[in-house]
Amino acid sequence: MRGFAAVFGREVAERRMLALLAFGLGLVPLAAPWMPGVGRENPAELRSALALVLGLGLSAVTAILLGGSVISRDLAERRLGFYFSRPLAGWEIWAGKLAAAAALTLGSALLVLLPTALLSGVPGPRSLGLPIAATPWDFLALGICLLELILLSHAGGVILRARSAWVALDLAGAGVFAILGWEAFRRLLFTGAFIPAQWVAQALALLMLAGLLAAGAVQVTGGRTDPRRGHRVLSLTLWGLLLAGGLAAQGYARWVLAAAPEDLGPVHQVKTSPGSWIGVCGWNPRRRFEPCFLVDVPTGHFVRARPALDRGEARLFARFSDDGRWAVWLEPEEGAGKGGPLQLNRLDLQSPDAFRFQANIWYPSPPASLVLSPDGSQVAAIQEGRIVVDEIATGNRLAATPSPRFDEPASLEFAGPGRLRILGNDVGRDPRDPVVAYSVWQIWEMDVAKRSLRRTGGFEDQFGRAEWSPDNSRIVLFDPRERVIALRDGWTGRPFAGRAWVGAAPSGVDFLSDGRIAVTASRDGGTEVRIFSPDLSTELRRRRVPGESRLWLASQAAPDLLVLEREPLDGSKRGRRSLLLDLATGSTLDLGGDLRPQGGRLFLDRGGRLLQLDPGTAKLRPVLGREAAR
Amino acid sequence: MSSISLDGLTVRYGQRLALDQVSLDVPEGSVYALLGRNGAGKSSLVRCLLGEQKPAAGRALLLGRDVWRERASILAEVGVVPEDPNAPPAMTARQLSRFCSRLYPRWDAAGVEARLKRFGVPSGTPFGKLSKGQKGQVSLALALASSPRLLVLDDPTLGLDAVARKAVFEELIGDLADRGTTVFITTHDLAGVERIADRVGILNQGRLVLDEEMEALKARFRRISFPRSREAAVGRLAALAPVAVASRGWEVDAVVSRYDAGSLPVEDGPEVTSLTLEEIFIALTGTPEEEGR
Repeated sequence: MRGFAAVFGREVAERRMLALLAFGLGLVPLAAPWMPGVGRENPAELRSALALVLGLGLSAVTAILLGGSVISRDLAERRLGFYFSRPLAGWEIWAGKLAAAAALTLGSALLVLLPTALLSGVPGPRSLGLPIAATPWDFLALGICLLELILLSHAGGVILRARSAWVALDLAGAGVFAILGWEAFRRLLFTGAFIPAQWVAQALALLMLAGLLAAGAVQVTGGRTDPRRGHRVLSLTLWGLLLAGGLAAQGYARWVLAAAPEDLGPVHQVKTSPGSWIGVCGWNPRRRFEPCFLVDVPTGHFVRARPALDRGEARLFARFSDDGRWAVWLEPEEGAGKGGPLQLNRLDLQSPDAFRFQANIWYPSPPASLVLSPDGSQVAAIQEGRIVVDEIATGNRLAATPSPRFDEPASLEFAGPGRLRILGNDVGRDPRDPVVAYSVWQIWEMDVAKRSLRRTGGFEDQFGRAEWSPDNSRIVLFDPRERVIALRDGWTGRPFAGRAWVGAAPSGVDFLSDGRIAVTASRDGGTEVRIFSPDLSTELRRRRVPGESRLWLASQAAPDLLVLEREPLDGSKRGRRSLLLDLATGSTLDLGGDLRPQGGRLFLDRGGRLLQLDPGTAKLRPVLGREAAR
Repeated sequence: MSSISLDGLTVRYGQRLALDQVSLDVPEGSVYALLGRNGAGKSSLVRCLLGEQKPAAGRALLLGRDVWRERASILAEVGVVPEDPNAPPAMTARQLSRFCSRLYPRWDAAGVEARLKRFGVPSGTPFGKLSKGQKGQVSLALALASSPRLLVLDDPTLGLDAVARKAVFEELIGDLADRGTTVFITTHDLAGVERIADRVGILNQGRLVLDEEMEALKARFRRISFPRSREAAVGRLAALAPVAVASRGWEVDAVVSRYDAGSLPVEDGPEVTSLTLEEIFIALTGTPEEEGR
C-alpha cells in the first residue's frame, strides 16, 4: 500500500493544475446570468444547468485524456521503467495511476459543481430539463461510467501505442463481443423479457468493468515495460473475459427464451378458440418475464408468440377462425422493440408442427379491433381511424376506408362472404334526466369488394347488454321501458320479436351457442335461469338456482351445461362464486369462489392457475400455471 | 553467494533471438562489466535482470531470488541506473528523492543532495530540463541513496562528456570503497570500466562469448607481430588460439587468446604487447574485415 500511496500522490500532485482549472470553470456558472444574450428569468436553474454541463464535460474529457495517457504514454515513451526499477509491485503502479486518474476525474467534476451547489443547491438532472430526480444510485452509475471510460481509454491507449498486429484481434474481439452482447440483449428486449434484458445489460456492463480492470492490471503486472507483451496480455485477458461473458449472455438469453408453457407461474391472459387451442400469457418466475404461447391444451403442443405493447401493457393479439383451424397473432417487427410495427403471423392449427407463416401484413401500432374471417383467409382491423381488410396468403390489401366515428371504440365482425359489419356505440342521454346514459348502437356494413361503407341501422340499448347471436344475424336485449326481451335484426337493428317480461329486470340476457336464448333473473327469493327458443316464442326450460343473488351466464361448457357467476345482491365481490348448471337435470354444482371464467371450460383461479372443467366429472383440472408445473 | 545468477537466459523477439542461453554468475561484492556491441543483447539482459522482461527460457536470480516473481521485494535492495534516464520529466531531483524515499527501507536524502552538489546538478530543476549527462547523474545519485546491496548500471556513461564520465566512475569507486556493493555494469566506456571491473563478460549476437576475471583475461590476451617471412611462426600461432590475424605489409599481426611466452621462440622475432580491454573487445567482437582494414 505504501507504493500505491506514493504513486497515487505523485500522479495527483503532477496534475494539480487540473484542480485550478476545474475551480475556475466552476466560477463560470455563477456569472452566467450576467452574460450578454442570456435570459435572466431563472438564474438558479441557468447556473445549475451550466455547472452540470461543464462538470460532466470536464470529467468526461479528463477521463478520456488521463485514461489514455496515465500509463500508456509512459509505456510508449519508455518512462514506465522508472517505476519498474523501484520496489513497486505492478499492481501498485497500475492501481496508483488509475486511482489518481479516477480521483482527478471525479474531483474535477465536483470542483466545477461546488460553487453552484453552495449558491443554488446540488445540480441534478432536472437542471437539464430531464423529468427525473437523481438518486444515490444514479451518482454511483455515473461514477462507474466515468471509471469505465478511464479504463476503456487506458486499454485503447495501450492498444494504439503498442502498434502491434494484435490490434486485429482487438477489432475482432470487440466486434464479436458487441454482436454477442447486443444480440442477447435485443432478443430479450424484443420478446418482452425486460428484466432479463436489464440483467444482461447490467451484467455485461459490470463484466466490461471487471474485464477492463483485470486486463489493465495484467497489462501492467504481466507486460511491465514491454508494450507489445503488455498489449498481448491485455488483449487475451480482456477478450477472453468479454467473449466468455458474451457467450454466457447468449446462453442465458437462449435459456430465458426457451420458456415453455409448463414453466408458467400465474397466467394473466387467456384467449380461447372454438377448438382445443388457446392463446395464453403468464409470468415465468424463474426466467422473470411474461412469455406468451399458443397452446393445444390436450396435447401440450405449443408455439411461442411475442406480445405487443398496447397502452403500456404486453398483450397477445391472437384470433382464431370459427372453424378452429387457423390462428393469427401480431408480433412486433424483428429488432423494432415491442412498440414497433406489428406483423401478422398465421398458424395452421391442424398441423402445429408446420412452420409459422409470417404474412406480409403490417400494422404500425396495435389495432383498435382485429378480426379473422371465419375461414381464416382474411383479416380486418381498425387501424388509426381506417378500416383495412387484407388477404393473408398474399398480403394484398383488399380494402381500406375511413372508419365512422363513435364515442366508444368500434368493433368489427365478418358477417358473410365479403361483408364486414362495424358496430359503433355512442353515449345517449335522457333529455329529462341527463345523468341517465344509455347506448346508441350504430350498425354499418362494408362491402369489401366494392370498398364501400354504409350505415344499415341502429338501436338504443337502455339496458346496456345487447348481445349478438353467434351468426351475427340477431340481437337480443332487454328493454326496461317496454319491459320486453326484444329480438332485433342484426343488420338493421329493427325489432322483429319480443317477449313481455314480468318481475325484476334480468341480470343477464345471452345467446347460447346453438341460438337459444338464456335469461337470468331473481324471482321469489331465488334465482332463475330461463331458456327460450331462438325466436323467443317458446320457453324451453326454467331452472331455479337456490338463494337470492345476482346471476349471469359466464360461459357454456357443453350444450346443456352452463357456467354461471353469482354474487350477493349487495354487489360484494367476496361472495362471488361459480356454479355449474345442468340444463337437462336442473342440478347445480358449486365450483368455488375466486374463479374467473375464461370462456368454454377454462377458468383462472386466484393464484393464476388455468383450470379446465371436465364436463363428465364436473372437476376442475389444472392445465397451466405454477400448480400445474409441479 | 552470487548476487546475480543467470541460467540459460533466452530472449526472443518474434523470430529473432536476442539472448541465446546466457548463463553467468556475479559474486557478491564484485564488479561485473558486461560488454557488447550495439544490438548484442545487453539491454534485453538488463531488462530480464530487473524483472521488466520475462525470458522465453531460463531464469534470472537476483540476491538468490527469482526476479520475475519477486521483483518488487528484491529491488528494495537494488539500485538501478537505466540506459535512458526515465524519471517523470516534471519532477525535480529533490522531488524524485522524496518520492523514492517512501519506497525504500533506507534512504539517504542528504547523500543525494551531496552527490548532486558534487556533480553540479541543480536539485530544483525539473528532470526533463536537465542535460542527458545530468539526468544520468541524478539517476546514479538516486540509485546509491538506498545503500543497495546490488547496483545495476545500464550504460551509465552513454552520451556523457569525458568529465562527466570520470565523475560517474569516481563516484562508483568511492561507493565501492565505502560499502563493497556488488556492481553489474554494461558500458561502451571500456577504458573507464577497466579500472574498476573484477570480471568481464562479452556478449556477441546474443551469446556470451566470454565470462572471465579481468586479470586472467588480460593475462592471456596478447598482440603478437612478426615478419611474414617466418613461416614457422605463423604455423605455431594456432596453438595460441588466435582470435584475429591480419597481414600488414611485411608483417603478420595477431591477437591471441592463450598467450604462452614459451610457445614462440625468440628466433621468430615476435613483438609481444599487452592489450587493453578495448583491444580485447574489438578483437573478439569486430568482424575480420574491420580488423583487416
